[in-house]
Amino acid sequence: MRSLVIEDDEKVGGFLEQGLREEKFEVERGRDGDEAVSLALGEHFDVILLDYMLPKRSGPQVAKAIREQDRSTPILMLTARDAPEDIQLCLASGANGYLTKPFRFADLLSHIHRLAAATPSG
Amino acid sequence: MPRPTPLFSLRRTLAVRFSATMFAALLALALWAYLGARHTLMEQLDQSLRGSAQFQVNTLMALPRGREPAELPTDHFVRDVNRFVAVRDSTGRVLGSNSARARDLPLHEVAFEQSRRTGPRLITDEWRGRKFRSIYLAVPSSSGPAAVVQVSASLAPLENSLGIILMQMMATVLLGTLATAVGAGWLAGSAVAPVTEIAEQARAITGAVPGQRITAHVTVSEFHGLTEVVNAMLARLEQASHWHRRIIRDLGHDLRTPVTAMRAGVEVALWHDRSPEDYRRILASTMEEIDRLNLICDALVFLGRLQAGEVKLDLVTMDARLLAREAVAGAQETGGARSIALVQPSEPVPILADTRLMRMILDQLLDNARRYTPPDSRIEVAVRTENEEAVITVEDNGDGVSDEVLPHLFEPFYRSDTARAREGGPGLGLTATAAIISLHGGAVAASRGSEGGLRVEVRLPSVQASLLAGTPGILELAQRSGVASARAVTSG
Repeated sequence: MRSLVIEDDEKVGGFLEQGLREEKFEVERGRDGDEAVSLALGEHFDVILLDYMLPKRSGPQVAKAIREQDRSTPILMLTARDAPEDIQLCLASGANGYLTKPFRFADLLSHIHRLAAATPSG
Repeated sequence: MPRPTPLFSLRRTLAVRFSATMFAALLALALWAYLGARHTLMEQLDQSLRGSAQFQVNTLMALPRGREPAELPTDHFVRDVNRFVAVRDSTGRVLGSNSARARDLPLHEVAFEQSRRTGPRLITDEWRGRKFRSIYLAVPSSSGPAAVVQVSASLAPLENSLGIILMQMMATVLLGTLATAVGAGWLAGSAVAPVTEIAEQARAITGAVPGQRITAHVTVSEFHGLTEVVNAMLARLEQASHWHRRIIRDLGHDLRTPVTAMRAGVEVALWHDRSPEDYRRILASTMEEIDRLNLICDALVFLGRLQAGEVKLDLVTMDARLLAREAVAGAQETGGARSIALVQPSEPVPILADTRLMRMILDQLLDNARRYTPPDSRIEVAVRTENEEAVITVEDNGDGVSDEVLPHLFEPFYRSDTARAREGGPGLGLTATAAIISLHGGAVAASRGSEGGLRVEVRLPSVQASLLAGTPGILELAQRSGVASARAVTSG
């Protein structure tokens, strides 16, 4: 399964990448909003893990930009902000789900598999 | 906090004071009117007595000479039943009277004698247990001692009338006071009612709904000042409350990032068996995040102490170059592949500062630059003297921050959705930096660097080299900064 991890925090991004690789994922990393849009629209991924607060473009802005051209790739937003308006913004921007930081790695995997299963392969 | 027990009612106090004032005024007015009426009635009585006495004297004067007054028939005396007339000879003996009772009229010897020498004399006397008013009027005589006419009238009718008048006036005073008390109570109640209404509105403002203000009686000039002050206070409290809520919320968000990194690291470590080297790397990473949490805690504690006015500067004169040199050396150890350069003049850049806090600031700025720039980036720390100020700049060639974010960079936890990359991780770090600089009498500003990165410039009041020896200027500056102590040391 190909995954794109967009996370500007090196440590969080690094551990996500390591954990996913050990779970047999192919992982591509991005560190800011512009890079996220470029990577997401340039290649095919089975899932996109997108941090909410990123340099250059926020997670919802990135999701919106992706959804303008790609309506199928599941996007899971990872956010430290869990106010109802933040969550609403996540979902309204085109994300398929959200996970509040800090999260259990098992929960992350469960979300990824559920999203992948619910999305028709394209 | 328990509400203080009201000691008195303003409404009742106002009503009582107003009623007491009105009672005193009405009483004084009633007494003045009573005394005036009494004086007038006495004047009228005296006038009547004078008239009666003069009539009696004229009647006597009209009698043929040699005729004794005792032989006068009754119709030669004043007929008024309320008047007692007696004609006395020069010794005071009654020669004639208008009634049998009048013969017993008491003689006031002083008045009797005075009337014969100086003219009519009016006195108040007692007769048979009652007060009487009497006039003594001498009968003009060209030969021998003159006879004296005494005319007396009881004061009982007059006193009865005055008593009735007094009672009526007292009743008027009491009724007037009672009416005043009722009216004053109503008026005071009307005057105080808006305050109660304003208090009820203020009590209903809980802070749960933003923008709630006092609207009652804001157009009444007497209450405008009160409502304005209360509304301004509400606005300040709302702002402070909003600030605190935001701090708590944002602090929660900021704590989640290092906790997420630590949790992810530990969880990944436990996911599979790993080499000792892997465990060491993950533990080192976790240690860094613990340091990051510690930074947040330190900044929070510091800002709390700063707000409580508990931060006292321990000022020393020092060379800013040395400070920057030590900070850069520390950053180079943890900076990885980054190039961290120091640009400094050959001459000392003396500053009067708290060494520990200034080092904290430089560490914070360097950590911020290091954390949010790529591993191969360049960071430059420059120290110089400019316009008698010490200027320290920390500039990197990273992505910088947007112009929208720059003015807010030193606000606690300021963030736009895309701002986090340059907020300094612990969103209080730059806020604490600005607070410390301000405490030193300096200023800090952020701008776009020459290569598009972030440039933070710290300006501090410079201490002239001559002050290094400990001249009074240091103490003056120290006192102006509100610090506990200041001492001069030489820097290497």
